[in-house]
Amino acid sequence: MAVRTDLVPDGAAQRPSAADRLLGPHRGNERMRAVVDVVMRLVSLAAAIVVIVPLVAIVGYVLVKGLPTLTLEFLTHASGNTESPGALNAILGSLQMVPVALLIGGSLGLLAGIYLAEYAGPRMAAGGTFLVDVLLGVPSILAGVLVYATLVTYWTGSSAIAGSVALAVVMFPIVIRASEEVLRLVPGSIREASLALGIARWRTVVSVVVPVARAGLLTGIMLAFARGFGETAPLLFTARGSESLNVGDFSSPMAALPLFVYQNSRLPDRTFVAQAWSAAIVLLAIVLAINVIVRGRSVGSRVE
Amino acid sequence: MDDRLRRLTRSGGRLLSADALFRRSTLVAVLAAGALLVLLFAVLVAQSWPIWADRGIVPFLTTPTWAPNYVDPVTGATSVQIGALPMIVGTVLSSIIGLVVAGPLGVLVAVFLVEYSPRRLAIGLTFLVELIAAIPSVVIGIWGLYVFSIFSRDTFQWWIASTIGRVIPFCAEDPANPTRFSVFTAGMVLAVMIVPMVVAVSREVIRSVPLSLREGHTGMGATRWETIRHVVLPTARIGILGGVMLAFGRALGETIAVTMVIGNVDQVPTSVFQPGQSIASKIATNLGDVTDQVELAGLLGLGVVLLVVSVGLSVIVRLLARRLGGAYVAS
Repeated sequence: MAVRTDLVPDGAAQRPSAADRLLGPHRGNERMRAVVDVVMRLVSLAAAIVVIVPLVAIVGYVLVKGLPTLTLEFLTHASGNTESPGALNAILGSLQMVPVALLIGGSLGLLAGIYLAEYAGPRMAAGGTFLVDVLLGVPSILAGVLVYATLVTYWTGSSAIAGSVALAVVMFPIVIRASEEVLRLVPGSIREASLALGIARWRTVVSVVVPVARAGLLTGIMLAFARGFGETAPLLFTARGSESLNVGDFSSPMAALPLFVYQNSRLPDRTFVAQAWSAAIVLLAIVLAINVIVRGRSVGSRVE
Repeated sequence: MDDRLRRLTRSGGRLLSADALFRRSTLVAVLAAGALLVLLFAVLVAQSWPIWADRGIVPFLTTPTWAPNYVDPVTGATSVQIGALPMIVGTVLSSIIGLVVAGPLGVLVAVFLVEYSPRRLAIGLTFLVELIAAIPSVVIGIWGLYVFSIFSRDTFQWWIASTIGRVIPFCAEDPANPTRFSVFTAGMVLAVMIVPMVVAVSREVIRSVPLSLREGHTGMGATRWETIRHVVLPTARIGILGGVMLAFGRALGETIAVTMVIGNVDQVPTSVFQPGQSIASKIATNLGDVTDQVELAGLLGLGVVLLVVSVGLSVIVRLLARRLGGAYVAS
């Protein structure tokens, strides 16, 4: 359709109309527009497939490379065992250090989450939320560096407790964020009903609000546990790892599954590398199992 | 307090103090979070002080060598060279590669999940993408170390170097000596790790674009893609940008997986297909057994750089979020 440009003021003719701008270069070419639509649909589908490929590849390779050496001896011998070394010390190490870390970081995080959701005024809550954002953005290796430069250097030396504290630093903001969000979802009417009965504020929080939110709180705590279980960097210069079985002695170095995978994968000997893959199976199984259990229930609500 | 009220609250004045006690202990936990951040800054800056005081900020950030006992190849004179430049370049380059791959890919996936995918497929895909984020980085690292680095060297690394590498600097590889461990490999591994974050944030932002905006456009005869391209993505762009920045921050600080594939060579790479070192990988490989006091201060100085950058990114994302909030109020 011809446009009488001579009737339009200078410059206006060159300016694309709103329809031109919104419908793009193929305006008027219906077939081309339909083709572009289908192509982009396919491209975005392809992107979704491409993103899933690494997940399949990682899980697949870990299984293929690790299963042959994932024997009963591997699960029941310490890595210092000269005849048939295993990963028992690493498994037990993680199972000790991570719960202790959760005890420290989780309880503090829950308390801070309660303050931000229940007590803080709008400005304090905004400031607290921002602080948690910043802490969540701090790389986990810096938690290890902080504990190394304080606890390890001046007090405990390389020890399991230092490792637990470093993991707790990583978990702390995760638990704050999770508990704050969950507690905010508890309807105000429930609090008011409790307060109207003359029940004190703290008692309302502890016996009414927290129990109502317990499923969500548990989710957050489990995810923090899984996160701590998979962290390597905070343990590098704190717990450091150890070849022998360490049960209960938090003042000396302790092995952990992620550390075991990291340290063994860098050894030149093939059998050690194979063990790193086997340990990766155990690590992946535990972490993914927690995530599948916890996230599986709620994923639908996040999509709709 | 009069007696009736006291009886109503059952144990009288004691409850009030229990309330104050509980409130204060929760406040202490929040203050502990603040103290943690302050402590992190204070400890890192204090213990890396020799680097900043004796050498200065600019020399530390721009010296391209890391050698506590540096011997000059010409004069033979020994000196202390502690410079962060190789690690800064390695960190930034690998993170940018991760972002260039994961950013567009993640946004496309988010578009698919929100706009195109049937609901059940979207639920399944969302779940799988979240699982990627849950994989411990050391597991991604061992996969990168023994599987991906070899695959990458033997396939698309050569292809990229011989096409894009001829045009864009920093992308050519040494044809005689292709390496498995390089800044590029680290960047690709980072892409795998940060894509879930880009998807998660973009998905939320795209979903929150008001339906009325889409309907207005579709009602004028636009196709689905035209609506996405001209309405949804422009409306969501600030939020998507925020998500991408968060992902960038994650990439900058990622330690173990990068340490396992970047090559751990303290040099300023002249190409992304060369081994390098990131700030986090340098700290991870050296801090445990460093004895030299200057080098220790240097490593903690690297920690300061990493902390400042990641806190800075959080602040920027916060400001973006504020702008985003304003935009939604306006529309």
